[in-house]
Amino acid sequence: MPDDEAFLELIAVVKHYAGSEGGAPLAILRNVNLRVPRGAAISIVGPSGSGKTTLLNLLGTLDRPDSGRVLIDGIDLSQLDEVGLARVRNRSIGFIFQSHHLLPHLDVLENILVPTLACDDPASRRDAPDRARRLLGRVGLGERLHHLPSQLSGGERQRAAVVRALINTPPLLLADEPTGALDQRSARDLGQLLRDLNREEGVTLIVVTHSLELANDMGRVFELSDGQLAERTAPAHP
Amino acid sequence: MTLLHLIRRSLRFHWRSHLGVVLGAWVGSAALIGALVVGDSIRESLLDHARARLGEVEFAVDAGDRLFTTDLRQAHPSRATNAGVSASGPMFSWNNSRRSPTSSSVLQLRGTATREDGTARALEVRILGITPNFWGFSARETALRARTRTPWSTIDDNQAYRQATDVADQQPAPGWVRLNRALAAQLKARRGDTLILRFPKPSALSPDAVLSPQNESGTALRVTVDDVVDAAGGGDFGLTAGARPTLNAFLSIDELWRVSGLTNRANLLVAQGGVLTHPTGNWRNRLHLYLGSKPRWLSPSVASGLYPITTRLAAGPAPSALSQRELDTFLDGNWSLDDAQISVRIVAPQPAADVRAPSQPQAGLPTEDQATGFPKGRVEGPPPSSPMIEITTPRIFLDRPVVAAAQRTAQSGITKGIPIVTYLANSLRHGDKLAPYSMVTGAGAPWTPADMADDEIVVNDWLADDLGVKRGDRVELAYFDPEAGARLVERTNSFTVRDVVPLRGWHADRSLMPEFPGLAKAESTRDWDAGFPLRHKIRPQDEAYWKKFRGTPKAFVTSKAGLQMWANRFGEFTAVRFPLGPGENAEALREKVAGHLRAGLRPDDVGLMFQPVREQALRAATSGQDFGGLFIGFSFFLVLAALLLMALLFQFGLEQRLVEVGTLLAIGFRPAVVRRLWMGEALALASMGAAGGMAGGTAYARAIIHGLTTRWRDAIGGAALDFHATASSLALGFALSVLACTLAIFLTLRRQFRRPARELLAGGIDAPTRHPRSRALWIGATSTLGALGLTAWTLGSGDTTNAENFFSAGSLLLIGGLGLATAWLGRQGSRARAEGQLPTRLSLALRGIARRRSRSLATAALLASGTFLVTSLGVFHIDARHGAWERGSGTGGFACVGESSLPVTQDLDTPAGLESFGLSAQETAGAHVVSFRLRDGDDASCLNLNRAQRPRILGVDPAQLARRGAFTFTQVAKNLAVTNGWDALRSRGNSASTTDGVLEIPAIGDAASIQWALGKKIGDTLEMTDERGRPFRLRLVGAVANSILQGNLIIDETAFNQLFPGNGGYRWFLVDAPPSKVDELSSLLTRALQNNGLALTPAAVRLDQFNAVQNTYLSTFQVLGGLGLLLGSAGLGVVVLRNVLERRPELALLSAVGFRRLQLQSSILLEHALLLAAGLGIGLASAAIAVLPALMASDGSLPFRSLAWTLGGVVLLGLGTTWTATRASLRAPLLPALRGE
Repeated sequence: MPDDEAFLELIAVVKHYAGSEGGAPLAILRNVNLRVPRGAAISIVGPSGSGKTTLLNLLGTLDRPDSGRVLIDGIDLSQLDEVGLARVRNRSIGFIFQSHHLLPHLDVLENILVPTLACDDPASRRDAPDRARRLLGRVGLGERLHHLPSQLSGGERQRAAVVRALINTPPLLLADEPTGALDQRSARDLGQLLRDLNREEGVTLIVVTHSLELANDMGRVFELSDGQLAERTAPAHP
Repeated sequence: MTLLHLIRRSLRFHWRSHLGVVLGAWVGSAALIGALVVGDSIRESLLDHARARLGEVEFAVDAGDRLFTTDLRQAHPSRATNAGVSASGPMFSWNNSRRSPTSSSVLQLRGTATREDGTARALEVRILGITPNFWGFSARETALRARTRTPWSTIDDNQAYRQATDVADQQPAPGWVRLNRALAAQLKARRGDTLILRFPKPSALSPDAVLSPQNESGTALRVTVDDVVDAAGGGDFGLTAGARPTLNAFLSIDELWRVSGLTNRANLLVAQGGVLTHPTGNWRNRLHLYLGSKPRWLSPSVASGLYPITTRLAAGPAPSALSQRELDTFLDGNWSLDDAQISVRIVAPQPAADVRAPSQPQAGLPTEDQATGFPKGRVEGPPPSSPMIEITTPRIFLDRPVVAAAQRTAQSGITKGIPIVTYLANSLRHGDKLAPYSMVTGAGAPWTPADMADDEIVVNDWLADDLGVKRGDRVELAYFDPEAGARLVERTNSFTVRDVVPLRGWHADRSLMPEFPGLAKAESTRDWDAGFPLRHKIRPQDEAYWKKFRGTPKAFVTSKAGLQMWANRFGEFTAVRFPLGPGENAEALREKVAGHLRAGLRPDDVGLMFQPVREQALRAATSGQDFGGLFIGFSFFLVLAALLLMALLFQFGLEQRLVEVGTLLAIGFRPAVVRRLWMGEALALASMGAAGGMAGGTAYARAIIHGLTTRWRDAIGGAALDFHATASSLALGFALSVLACTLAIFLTLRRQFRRPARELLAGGIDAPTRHPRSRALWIGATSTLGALGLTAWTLGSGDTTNAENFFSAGSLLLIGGLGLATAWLGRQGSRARAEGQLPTRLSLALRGIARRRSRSLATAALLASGTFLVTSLGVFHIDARHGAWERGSGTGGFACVGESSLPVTQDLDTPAGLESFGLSAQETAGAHVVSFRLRDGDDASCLNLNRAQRPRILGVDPAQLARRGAFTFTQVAKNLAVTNGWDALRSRGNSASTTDGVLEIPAIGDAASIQWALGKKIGDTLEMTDERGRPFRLRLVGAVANSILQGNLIIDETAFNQLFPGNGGYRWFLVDAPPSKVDELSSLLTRALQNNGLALTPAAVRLDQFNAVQNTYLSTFQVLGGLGLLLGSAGLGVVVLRNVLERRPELALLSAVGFRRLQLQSSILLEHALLLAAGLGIGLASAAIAVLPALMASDGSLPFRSLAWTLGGVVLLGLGTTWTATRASLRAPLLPALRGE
């Protein structure tokens, strides 16, 4: 890992989950360390149950480590309360889930604008509709602004979810199995889109995936196994 | 884009799932708002009735048995007020141009009415002798007058007014009567029918007085029905609010005067306070007046519309513009001694021709003084030829304040008045010689020597000759105890003859005898109507004495001796006399005495005082039982069930949308904002439900009102109710509903929002909520033990009917049962996993319940609570006939309870008393009567919806009830050391003055009356006024359990007589009779006392009428509880549907491995039948334990049949709902669900 400025850093992160009744706690992450420079694109792979999503949740401030520290842009997340974490999520992080999680009662444009409601920057809110239109045009949904999620294909929904993740121009984009629910072509398109965004928008991209193709498309590939995170030097193979 | 936009879009998109929530909110709101509107309807109906009853009457002087002059109405100041304001504007000129009553005198009597053909009879009829302007007080007149007063009143308005006033002006002519609708209905009387009215002839003398004439106790009058007057026309006029409809018969006051032998007398003065005419009223009056001035800015049509509203406002419960103090001041300045039936007259010595010739001085006596008749130099007094000024009253005994005021006149330079008491001695005996029926006077000089002892007597020479007595001889004086009334208790005092005086001068003054009605005008002793049987033979010399000297006293005792014998509740003295000073003019002194007496008295000293009857009536109507609150209580379970159902449905919707919540949190929404977003949605749903609930609530209220006036009419004593809904209640109901619904949803949301975003993003299913089993066990065990302890304590304390204990034990048992069930379910779930047993259908069913434990418990809780209510309340239905012959029962062991329209002065528990009604001891063998005196007032029973302001008071000798051990006391004041509850009435020696000088009287009442009708508890006091307007206090010292005494407060008879001396005779009766002779004795007594208007009712029937209130409320509660149970069943159905929908993949799998659809249905049915059984079991067990004390206190019988029906219905309903929901949810193909999985 290059030793230049770290935008995101995990230092000795440990995470356990409670075991079944009376059982010992289950160690998911054991002393995980990670430094991700600003604008980098990395992927995390590993077998099911290895703790990929847990790791992403810690990065996305949706969960807290049992020990260790998570820093985003130099901010120690363990020092923040719920409101502070929500602000970090809103301003600094964009989430893409395996399922799009678009709100079914809002059309595409409205779904994109939902994160702006939680944003306390008036200028950002003012510009959001234009930015949303531009991004939607960029991902090929310029003509589907007022369609409900139920009127979109799976790939379109996921692209809309990507745009929603970017609407507050976060410096960090976290994607949890973004292509898991897509067919091959849509998955390929989405992967391309993520790479383009990383390159064009300068956003730091972390992708958790089972897809080796998508993983290899990222600059660096990390593998999570037995609670340990290690960078692969050679591209992953099926 | 805003949060509001998000909420709006979500509401629109999820409308189907929201529909159930809105419906739940709608049902809950409808029940809540409906309950408040029921309260409105009852309160407004009572107010309407109060307004219709009183019309424009605001104040009244109710003098009872006192007869003031009709000139007293000039004491009302409105005339002056009107004159004063007439120049203020056109508004006030209408009072002069229209007939606007300000006060009206009424002669009000109580009597009976019978159809001439005897086919119908009405008791407790108010016979009202009225003047023409009386009708001007009616509500209709007021409204018409208000309309025609407006400058823009139409020709139609004026014609209607003229027609109405024309009818009203037609007073019933002599021989004609107008009836109110209730009386006409009871008598089935129409115009032209002939009726017989029977009523007591108004008399100044109490019917209780020994010398009250018997033959004048009742008068019959044949009258023809002239018209029937409705309530708005003033037909239901009355000062008190009662449970029974008022029966009014209106006659011309001249007609009543004619048959009563009275002139210019009334006993009721009704007056308006001048609300419409006084310029300094409150804002409502000012608004009314302002609109009346037709402001230019307001269009006439709008003003016309507003005017009736402000008329109503101004005539509404606003304080009167003329305060009571103003009225009292005017009354104080305008009443006359004649109004108090006090006369101040000049009494002159008897004409010489009437005076007996001087007798020969007896041997050994000094020469007598010609003036006094006493030996010369022994007595000083006015010269015999000099007249005196005398204060007397046709009421015989002067009120004590009158005597006191008369005595105070000495401070004004008038010679000190001499109080005199003259009464009838049944006999004066010396040895074997007896002089029957002689008047004896108790007075000081000049009638007795100043140094005469109280056991000495002065006799006139006629009596001395007759008895053959001389100085120093003993004379026995026998007389009737005036307090004993018709019981005719004779007492005897022995006196030593002090002097024998000649029958002349002051000792020959026939005016000393008061104007006893049956004696004063009798020409002969044969014409006497003394009110008692003459047991001593009247000899020729007695007849001769009467003819010559009339009631001239034959003997004189000291004033103190006279008081000791004859002072009674009516007063102490029969006259006060003022000798003329030297050279003083008799007429001048009379005027001086009258003036000072008048100045020294307040009108309330003689029973004349204005009562704010309108204010009292409106207060009674508005401060009664809070029916809104009561029906909220009744609907509580229904509301709770609806809220639970709504919360359940909302939770189902929320569970489907948990990912949305997680997404919002993940994209940076703060949890508080997301909660706010959902609460906004919840608020909108609650508001929609509550808005619908306003319409539903009014429909619900209409249904309840319909029920209360038909099937449940026993609960309100048959009162007429109309639907009313006030904006404030609707608004309050709306706000409360929104609050309750939002709160219920908030509690649901709060739990879900505690979950982390990552869990919510996973659909909320990866981490089942853990409920600490030990906590549920602890709560369950503690609550159950607490309930068992409370039940044991209730049983031990004997307070077995305590509702608070019942509900507390029931609630604890329900909580305990549900807690234990929770713990057990948790154990079942974990044990199956731990032991790794092969699953059975039962264990699978239990696991299914345990999987969604909160949902399952919510359903079980609904069913358990409903079952508890519906089954347990059945036990509290009361059957008055059970144990009705036991002394401790609600009937007191009495066979009948009765009330007479006219007082019965005889003691019906004595052979003599019965004989006076033509009943022999043989005929009435086995019958015993306990008689009560009755002071009319508000019916303080549960049948009267108004709050009793001045409750009816019964006076009884408590020993009669104590001896019988009648009734059961639920509570006696703790500080009283009494062995029998009835002794509490004499616990303070009948009465005691408190530190503030107000007389305090112990009182006992029915527990229900005290709690509900009076809103009091033991130890509380009620501020009252006696018949002279003096304040006194009733302290509640005992409460009797559920009895026929409801509606009344009982005090000791002695105290009653002190407070209400004018309330002569007995009017309320409890009759003991052998069970086999009840009907026979009842009809015998009713027939014999027909003229007194006695109505006897079997005690058990009367108790049943009272019990009907509680029983009907219980039924209402049960019906509404049943509705709640229905909702609970619906909730069960919803849970089934939801569970099945959630488990469709699981069911699809079972289907794929070979389970048939019927088997799947049976599995689901078994699972939910267990839930149903748990709910029913917990509810039933809780009910069984909680009602145990009440059950053991009753006859132990349970309404098994109705319980079986109820439970069977609940089981069938629950199973039916489950089966239907299961079928509906399994109707769709299952295998696609498997693919989805």
